[in-house]
Amino acid sequence: MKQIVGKILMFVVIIAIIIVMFLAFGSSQGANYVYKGNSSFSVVPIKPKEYQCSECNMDVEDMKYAAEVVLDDGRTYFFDEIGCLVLWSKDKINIVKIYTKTVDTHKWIDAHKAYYSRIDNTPMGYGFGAYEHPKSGLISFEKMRELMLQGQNLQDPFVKKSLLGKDLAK
Amino acid sequence: MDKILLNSEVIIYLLSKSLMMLLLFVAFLYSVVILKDWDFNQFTPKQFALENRSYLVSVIIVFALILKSFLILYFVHTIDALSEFVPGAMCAAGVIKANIYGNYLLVLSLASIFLSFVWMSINAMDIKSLDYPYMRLKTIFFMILFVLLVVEYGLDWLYFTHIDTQKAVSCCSVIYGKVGGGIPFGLDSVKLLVLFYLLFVLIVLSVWMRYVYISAISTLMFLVVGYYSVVYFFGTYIYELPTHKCPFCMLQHYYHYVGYLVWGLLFGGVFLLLDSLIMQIFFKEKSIHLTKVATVMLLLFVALCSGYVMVYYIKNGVFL
Repeated sequence: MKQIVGKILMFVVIIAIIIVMFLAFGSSQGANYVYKGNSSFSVVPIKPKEYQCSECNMDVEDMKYAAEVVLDDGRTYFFDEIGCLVLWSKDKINIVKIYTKTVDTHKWIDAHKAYYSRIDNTPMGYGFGAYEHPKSGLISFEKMRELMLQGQNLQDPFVKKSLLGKDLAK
Repeated sequence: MDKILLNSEVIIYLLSKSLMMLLLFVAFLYSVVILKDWDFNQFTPKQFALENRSYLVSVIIVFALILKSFLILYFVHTIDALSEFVPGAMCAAGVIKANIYGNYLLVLSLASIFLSFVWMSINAMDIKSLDYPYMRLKTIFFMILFVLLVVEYGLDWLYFTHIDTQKAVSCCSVIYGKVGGGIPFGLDSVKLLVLFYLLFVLIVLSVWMRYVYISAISTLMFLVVGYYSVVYFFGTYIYELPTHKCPFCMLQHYYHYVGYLVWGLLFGGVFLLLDSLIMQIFFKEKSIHLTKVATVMLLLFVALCSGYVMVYYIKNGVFL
């Protein structure tokens, strides 16, 4: 009798554990969107797939073009490329810092101080890759932002044809 | 670095560890000879000498491993004491993250304690038998354990020599607070607690019914769930502060050093139970006494954690 009661109890407990675990995993949001408490407004170093892009929802996996923005309350949001960041931040007024990873030096730098290529193979295909050192054909942050908001990026077939069809240096 | 290495706790810890390693090194050298020449079927003076020597070696290893089990308590006390020298650290949580070696060292220390328990159980079975059936096995196992302990000893030195007393570290409220990410696996406090008690009931039932594999799986899960339950739920009742989430602060005198008891019961209970299950699965040894001790330790752990919540509720009439 003891054995039967024990077996039934064990079965019930195991089923209950499985249900709780299913409920927990079902409510799990996977990767995060925001890092809170960055009161020093500094760069938050992230690992691939640790956060999701707040604009396109893709995992920030390829760190080559990753970007992040810090708000005045210390919340930090992450993006798989600067193009997504520009779209996300167009209505935001409480931005304190914007950082981007550079293609040439692989460092996190202030996005306003970076120079941008228009023809990089970025995760969302907007084409804006950040560079720390200036060279011909690269544009400023303000110009990149303006072009991005106007839709003048590699996702536009006319822009793509005009940019990739001729040498930017000229 | 000098400030750290000249700290009395660090000196005591590193000296004790060095002595322990010296003892284990002597045992390791003898173990090589025993492994090479051991043949129980031979009736030669050399074999008799080896049998006597193997007993001595076992005693040395058991002494060193028991010392090692206590040394982890002193290690935790040491890093807690170092929080005075590391800017930003309020307890051992910040100090352990002062460089990349800290977490590896802590995990390796816990793993080597568990393996030490397993070795001591095999040794106890071997000595009880008349024909030393596990002599080769336990000697090879000790050699592997020794290599792990050498790595741990190296990490000890790397860790203590690379603590920067000029560089600020994060305090526990940053590491384990909202910024740190909170409870993993999509669990919230309620689900975590339900899992905590369900897993404990499952352990007790499976031990009673002798379902060793279910016991082993539930014990491993209980270790993880128990850790997070203490950090994110029961700990807040120990600190009597809903925002204070830290596994280390409870080791301080403000909280009557209860952390040593909490973690000692959890890790001790889980390690001993897993040890007894390994003995049952691989060596067909019932080890009823060990199982009972481990279950009682886990029962005390659950009672202690729940007791803090109950006492808080009785005193204040509300939950945190």
